[in-house]
Amino acid sequence: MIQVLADGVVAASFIVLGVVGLSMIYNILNFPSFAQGDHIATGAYIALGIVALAGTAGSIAGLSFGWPLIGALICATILNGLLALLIDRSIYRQLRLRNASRISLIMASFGVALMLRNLIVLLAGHDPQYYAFAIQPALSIGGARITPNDLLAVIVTTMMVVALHLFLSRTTLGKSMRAVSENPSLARVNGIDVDRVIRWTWLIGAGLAAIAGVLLGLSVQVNPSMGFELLLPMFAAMIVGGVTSVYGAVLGALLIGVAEAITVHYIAPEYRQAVAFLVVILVLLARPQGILGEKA
Amino acid sequence: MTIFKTLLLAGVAGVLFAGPAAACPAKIGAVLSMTGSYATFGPPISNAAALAVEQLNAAGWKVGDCSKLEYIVRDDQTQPSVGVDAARRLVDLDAVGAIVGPITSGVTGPLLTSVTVDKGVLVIVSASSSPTFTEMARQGKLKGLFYRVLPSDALQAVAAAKIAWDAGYRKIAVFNLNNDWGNNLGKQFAVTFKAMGGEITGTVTYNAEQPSYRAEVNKALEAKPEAVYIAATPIDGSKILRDWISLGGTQKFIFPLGMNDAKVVEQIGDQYLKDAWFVTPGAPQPNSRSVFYENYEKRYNLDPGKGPGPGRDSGYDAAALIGLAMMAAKDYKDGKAIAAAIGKVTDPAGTPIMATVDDYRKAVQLLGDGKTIRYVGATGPMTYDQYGDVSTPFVGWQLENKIFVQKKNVSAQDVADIKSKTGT
Repeated sequence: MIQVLADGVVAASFIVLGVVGLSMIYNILNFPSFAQGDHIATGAYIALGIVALAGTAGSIAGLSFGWPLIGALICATILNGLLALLIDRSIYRQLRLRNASRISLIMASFGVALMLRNLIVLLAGHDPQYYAFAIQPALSIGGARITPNDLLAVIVTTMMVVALHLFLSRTTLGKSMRAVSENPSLARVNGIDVDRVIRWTWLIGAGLAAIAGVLLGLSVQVNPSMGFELLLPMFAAMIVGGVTSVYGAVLGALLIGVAEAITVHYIAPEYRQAVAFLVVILVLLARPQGILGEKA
Repeated sequence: MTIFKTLLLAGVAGVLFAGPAAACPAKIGAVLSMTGSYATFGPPISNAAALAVEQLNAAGWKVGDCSKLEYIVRDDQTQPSVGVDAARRLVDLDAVGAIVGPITSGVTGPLLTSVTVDKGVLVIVSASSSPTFTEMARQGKLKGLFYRVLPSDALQAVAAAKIAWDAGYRKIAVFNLNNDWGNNLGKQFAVTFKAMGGEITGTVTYNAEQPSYRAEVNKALEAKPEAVYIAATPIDGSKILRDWISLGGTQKFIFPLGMNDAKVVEQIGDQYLKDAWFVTPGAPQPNSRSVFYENYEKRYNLDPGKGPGPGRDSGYDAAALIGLAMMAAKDYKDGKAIAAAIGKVTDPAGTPIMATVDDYRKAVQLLGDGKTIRYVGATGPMTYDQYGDVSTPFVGWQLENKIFVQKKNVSAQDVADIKSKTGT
């Protein structure tokens, strides 16, 4: 049972940061970005490029990496944010200025997703790659097998969620973000710079995606479809948690991760996603707005 | 005036009802995955088939007055609906009597059931190793119009079970991809291994392209298997194996055809694969593999050793068999006649014909005289049963200094014996 929980929490930690970004973009820009998965992949590949330049991922204690990777992670977070900003400037912003409908924005995000994935294949090829090639032996913690990298993924993700909570609740920028997400026109009338809020949304959303990408890359591997493969569980987590709530996204991710692990262990591995989606349906039947969502 | 009208009508009717042109040159069709997810296999298999047709022409191929054989390939995009459409065009527009069949069983199934069997067209598949077709043939659904070049997966899994048993493993977990290929291999391996007296600790069926397989691997590890049979594709396989090793699972692996890929070794590290067995169909002796490779490299301007790649020789053999069978049948339009003549070109008592222009010249002579031959293809001589299944020996490979070395042979007879003894 402990193993099942551990598997579920580790799986959730790979999607939490991506879902948080997805949810922020949804609330502030008012469309679900289907490119969020591929932003995760670009982040992982930017870090991979930097590690390749440094020549080594280094090594600290029991982890399979060291300072070069930590440096790469920080650079990738910033660069991935800037990349998203560039995409917003050149594509989404043009659509917003023309008052494009939500469906146009969604289709545009599909296009961005394909573009990013193919760009990665073009530059880095199809084959899976690794920050550090050596296979890391798992530790036994309280009867559960877990690798040091997985443990780190859970810890870093938790820290980022706490940091995000403090940011959204304590800083002026965070508060303006919440204001814009609740009522953009009212926020604008009150003197909030909406464009600035949008800029920071992309920077934070894609920055968190980069962190998710590096953590997943460390634990599993870096490959061009790594982010796309996360897209479905991410959307499920966002919807079940309540699309209007960033905290709901975190809860949703945990619920999906644990539900999938339980299915694999106790029901049948091949029904992993089917059962996870059944859970989503049941939750939505009971609470159509999601666990922490507010009624529209 | 009336006569004129009648003539005109007759002319129109003639155009409408003349049906497809079936005149010389004789045509061999092919439905292959030139694009889509099997696009790495399609082009070399097709090149191999085209080479067989060129060589037959060079050797003076002829049936009656027709002395020109043509090869037409159509892309199935690795999609069943596209494959069916491609086959329909080959049959209706190009009037082919025989087709080099698809690589993936997913395309072959609908192609057989909705086009070729009804139209009486022979299909020799280039890969499509699903046991489903054996079952369909057993139920009489294929009317003797289906042949393979590669053995069915069911036989491969039997050979894998034997290799596992002979290696001394008694408690094995099965870990397979959730599709026709993976499920068939996994099921057949488990059934055979249990019938031999071994224990299957559990079967984990995984879905392709998941972000991580940690939970699946932990599930399979629960029962502490001694060894594991993993039927995965190389990319999913690399994730699964790295997790498996990291979580402390046994390193006694048994893999099917497909995992014997240098890329897999590169992704995992050969130090973890020391005990691994890679089970693949083997070419029976004698065979034309090396001469085929040489000719292929020469024809397509490749460096020596850069040939078509493992498994691609099946396309060559499928096309060569069809071309030879047409001569034996003295017919290139009627699929049923061509299919019936397969026995005349794979006759164990016939004159051996290797895959060279010189030997094909002999074949033209012999078949013209009504004699039988035994085609010894790039994959070896074909021995067919009544369901169009080819029986081949299997080979167990192990890694030595990152190179696959042939370590164990399981003969076609061994496989047949196990199948009858275990009743599987």
